[in-house]
Amino acid sequence: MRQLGPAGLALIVLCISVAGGTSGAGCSILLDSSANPYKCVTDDDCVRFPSAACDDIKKECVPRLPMFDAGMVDTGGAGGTSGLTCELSFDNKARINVTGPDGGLRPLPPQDGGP
Amino acid sequence: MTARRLTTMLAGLTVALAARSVGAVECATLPMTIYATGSTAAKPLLAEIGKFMAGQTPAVTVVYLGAGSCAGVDAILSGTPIMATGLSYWDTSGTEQKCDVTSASGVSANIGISDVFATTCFKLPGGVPASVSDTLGPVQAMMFVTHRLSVEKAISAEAAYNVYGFGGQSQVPPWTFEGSIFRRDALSGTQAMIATAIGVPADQWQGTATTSSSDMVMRVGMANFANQSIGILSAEVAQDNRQMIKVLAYQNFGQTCAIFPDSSEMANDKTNVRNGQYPIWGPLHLFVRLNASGFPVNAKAGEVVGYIAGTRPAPAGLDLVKIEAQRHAVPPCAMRVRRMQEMGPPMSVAPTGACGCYYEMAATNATTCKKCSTASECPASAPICSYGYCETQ
Repeated sequence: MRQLGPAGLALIVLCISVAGGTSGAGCSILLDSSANPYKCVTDDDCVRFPSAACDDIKKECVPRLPMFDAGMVDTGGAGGTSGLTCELSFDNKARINVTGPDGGLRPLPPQDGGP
Repeated sequence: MTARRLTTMLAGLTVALAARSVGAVECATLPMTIYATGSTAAKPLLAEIGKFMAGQTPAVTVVYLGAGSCAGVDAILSGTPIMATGLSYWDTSGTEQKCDVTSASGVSANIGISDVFATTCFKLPGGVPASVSDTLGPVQAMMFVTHRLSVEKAISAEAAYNVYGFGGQSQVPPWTFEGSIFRRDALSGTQAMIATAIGVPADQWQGTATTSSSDMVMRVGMANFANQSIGILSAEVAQDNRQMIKVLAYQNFGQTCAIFPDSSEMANDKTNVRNGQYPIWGPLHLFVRLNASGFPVNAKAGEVVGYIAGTRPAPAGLDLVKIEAQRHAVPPCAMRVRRMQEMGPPMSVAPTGACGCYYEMAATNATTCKKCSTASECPASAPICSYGYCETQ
């Protein structure tokens, strides 16, 4: 899921600053959701929807992506998503017989000129 | 991959292709030819569009050479000419025909097609040059496969790293026999994408080389020892050959669950690609050269790219969503995620003119979505009527 970057933070700070001053026009235009309730700038603008995030491209709230480990979350919605349970697992500890010095992946062998 | 090594491989490929003699017509004599080269996975799509373009007035001939994804990138970014015989084109009935390029200087490609980002093939510190457009098309998933009778059902990224990084010395049973570990080559989009996923550079893969996707199917599917066999394929080829091979579920680095690209091993819905759960996927890249005004140098090439990418309305009678669904690819309008770099983090998207329900119907002949003619027939939970079905957005 996209993280709120410095630009996003700066925008929110700017909005708060402007809104607290004499003119809130700039901020209210950016975050006005009356015409399009799905409009957003950051994920924070989507908290009014259950499990939603801000689409980086369209700047609209869309269903939040499921967790990417253990595959157990239903994304819901029409059009091709469904619940997922973890039915298969590859046991790395039992099946990978050689690891690197730190217990992780061993370094690849040195190249000998390649293919 | 180093530029020198890739150049050497491309030169070898050009010579090999030019050496073949088929005895067909000269491509340049065909009506208004557009030359496309690169990924072999794009051929079925090009066949449909080639058939349609051949029936236009005036007729346009789409000529295609499958040469590997990175060769497609190279053809547009470096201008490496096509010099080969036995190129494909399609007549108005959709029948594949062959033509030759015999000119000593070759011909320039109008469209380069790649399964992977240009930066996966070449070091491009500044990205794709401004004089070239990279249009994203349908999504293709890549996968590990084994013999259909193998008892193996899944592989992890860590295991794949050892298998393809060390070959017969993988120490990951049962994939410990060099002769049963099958790879493609560094020009292959399938190998390049999976290389990024498992952290073994595409030009350092161990195992036994295969010459094409169909060769891969034969070698894996006819391996003497089913359990020891392993290979890589795009979804299109893998899932069209289930009588010989089976797809392994894939478990990404650090995870504990292996996932199929579809909702189950034998399904065709690409559910876990479309929602981003299955990790090894990427959009087809369509490269064309641009003029000083930012438009395709060859307008007809731009038109073809627009159809494939879905950025240009498909003409009547050309149902690309259905074609892509039946070829195990996913059109952008059926995706709920996108990524901007090879194996980069998936981001949520709400495609305009969503076609997830229609895609599901075309791919599996079933959908839980409600049919509709107008939005007024749709429930609040799926208020948009698109492609004849109620969509959420």
